[in-house]
Amino acid sequence: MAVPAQGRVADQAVVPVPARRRGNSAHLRARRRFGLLLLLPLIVVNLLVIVGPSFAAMYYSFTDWTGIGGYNWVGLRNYTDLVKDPDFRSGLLHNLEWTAIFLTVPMAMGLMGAFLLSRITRFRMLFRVAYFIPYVIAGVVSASVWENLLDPQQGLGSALGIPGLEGTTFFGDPDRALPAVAFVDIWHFWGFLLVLFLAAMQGIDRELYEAARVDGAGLWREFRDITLPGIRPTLVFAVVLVTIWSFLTFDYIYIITQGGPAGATETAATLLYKEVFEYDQAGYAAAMGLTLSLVALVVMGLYGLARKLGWRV
Amino acid sequence: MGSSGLTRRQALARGGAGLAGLSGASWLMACGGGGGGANKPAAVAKVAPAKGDVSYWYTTTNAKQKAWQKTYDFEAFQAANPGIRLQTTQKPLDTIARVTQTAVQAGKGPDVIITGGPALAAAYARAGNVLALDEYAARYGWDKKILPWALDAGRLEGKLYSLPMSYESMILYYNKSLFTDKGWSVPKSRADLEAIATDAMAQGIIPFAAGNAEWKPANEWIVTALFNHMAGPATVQEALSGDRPWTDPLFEEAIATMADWFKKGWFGGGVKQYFSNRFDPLYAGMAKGKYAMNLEGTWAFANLSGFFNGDTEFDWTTVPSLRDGVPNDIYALGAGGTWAINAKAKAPGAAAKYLDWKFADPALITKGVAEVDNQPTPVPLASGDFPRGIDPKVERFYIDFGQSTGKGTFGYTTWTFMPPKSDSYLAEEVEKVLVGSMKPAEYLKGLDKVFRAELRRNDVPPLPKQAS
Repeated sequence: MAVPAQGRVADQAVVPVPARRRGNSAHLRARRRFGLLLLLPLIVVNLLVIVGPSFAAMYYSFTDWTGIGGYNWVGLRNYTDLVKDPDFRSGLLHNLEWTAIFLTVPMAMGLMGAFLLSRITRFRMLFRVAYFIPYVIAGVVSASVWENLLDPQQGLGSALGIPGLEGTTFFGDPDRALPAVAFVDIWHFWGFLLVLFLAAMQGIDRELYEAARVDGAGLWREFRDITLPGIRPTLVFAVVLVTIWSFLTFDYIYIITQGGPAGATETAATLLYKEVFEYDQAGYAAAMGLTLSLVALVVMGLYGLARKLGWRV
Repeated sequence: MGSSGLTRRQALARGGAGLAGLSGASWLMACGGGGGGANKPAAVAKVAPAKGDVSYWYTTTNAKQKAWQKTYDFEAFQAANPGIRLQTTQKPLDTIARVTQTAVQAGKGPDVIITGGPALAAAYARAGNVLALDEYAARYGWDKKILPWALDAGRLEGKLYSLPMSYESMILYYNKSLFTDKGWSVPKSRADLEAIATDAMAQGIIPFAAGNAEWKPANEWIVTALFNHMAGPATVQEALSGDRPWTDPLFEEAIATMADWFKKGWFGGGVKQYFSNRFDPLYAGMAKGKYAMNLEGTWAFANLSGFFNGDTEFDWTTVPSLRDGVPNDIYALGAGGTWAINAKAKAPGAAAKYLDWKFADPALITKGVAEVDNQPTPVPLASGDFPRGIDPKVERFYIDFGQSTGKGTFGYTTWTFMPPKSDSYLAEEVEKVLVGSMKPAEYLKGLDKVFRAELRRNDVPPLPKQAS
């Protein structure tokens, strides 16, 4: 009985369904077209400001273009020069240091802050906003504020007579300059990670924590065995972002130290900027930019590969 | 940056030292057909009538100067030239050179172009982006109105392509009140200078107010002073001409001396402190007697006068001779940014007329110096050209400078006569010498290598010759 009934249903459905499908698909096509129409301005803008310049930069990376006037085709010379360039190597080394700092300090602060915030209900929003505010302040503003606060003569250390800080140079000392600028950037950035991680933590089933507590788990075990696995995709995504951004870092360094003193904070991106705007080597700088893009592509590729292999990231 | 220290020319030079933004400019260039193949020959202007529309992108360093420029430059020019319509647009100081360059590469941009200096104007000329001005120079008699060395700096392969916006030099400022208190005389030799510095340090006074936290290329001011006043102007001229390498022992001695003085803490209180010092606290400290002297360009007149307010007084002298055989009382020539006429200008005759206006009236030029601390265009000035009320120290500089350089003895500021890459290298890499991670000889070897490459490409601006 069930079969004829099913057959009847099926039979009855045979006629109207294609009609609805035709109607649906026409409607869907119209919706898709409308969607594409809405996206068109963005695509055009991206073509103009990203794809176009990217291809142009790729092309110029094989030339000796200075940025003004004509150029000559130089093949791979810019890339071979890049390999031999001690300043570029030094810049990349600073990028690696920067990456190491940012994969540890703000990540740890963000995780810790988010975990602690996830356990409170009162004032959570207040704290979240308070920690996130530095992220929305313009980089040039926060950099200038910290430059003044850490000024050896007029900064906090001297004004308050804080031992160890009074007269201490941060941005002017080649040994301290890179961590000092990183500190300022971390102050601005870590709230972003906190909010990101907190949102991910709120998606974890509360019952898992309650069950763990019943089993006698402490805070650390809850964090290690429930929170971290629970936010793993977000965590990996944050690692990918931080790594890519660390190789492109420019703004805080350029505002505060411009790569100095004596190249102590020079990164690949600040060097690239100087190659274009000070050394008149736009072609060489294009090769440098493409090399940096390659680093980002490798990181993204590894991330994509891990997902393809079924890793839960 | 703060209110002080950065000259318009220097910001122009650094902000755009040349090159358009990697992405934007390259794309615009691709769209505008600005590039490809070899450089085009520079365009030659036919003398066009002085009428039509002229667009001009300008920048100012403060509101006072902006208001003055509007009244005494733009509006006054407009009133005197009803057949020309001057369209002005203000651009930020630190980006005007870059924005202009991007626009010019795309076949657009203003009719009157501002560049960071003669070397950059020459790059535009080689790319065919600006017009040769010789016909206009003849029409308006610019060779009579403009100081010869400054006019010559705008030439490339015998043709005139740019006019200098201002001029400046390196001088030694000192706290006159402090000098009187301590019984120090104005230094006239290296021995004098080092004796004062040593005595000052012993008394807890830092000899030189110096720092580059706000303006990294401030290093270059000191290099320029030591090259010209220790190695000597003739030596610098030979090096800039390619007849003497930058690795010459005289330059090595200059850089080694600079490193030594920094090591002793004479500049800003020590190397690390120097990298952290900002301009306003330095000037304030100098007025309070924390620092005794300041080796800086003539743009600092305006900055210092704001901090010395009655209780203490400052004065200036030429940078003393720092080696036997190097003459005293010489000035290193420094041209400010340059003006050129866009090859795409629809009314080049009107643009040239506007350029002529900038040099036509010495009284108006000195009025700007007296009222809003303008840096004057390089025209010959005499006492009678200055208005009442001008700071006598400032007047003395411009008269002395004109007389001294008129005799054919002068030095060369590196930011005016070094080609762009060499100039950037000179200003930045010297920090490695100061922190001890590079030897003076190694630094100069690198400078020589970069310079030789630019010299081969004919990127060095024309050099005014010393009197023999």
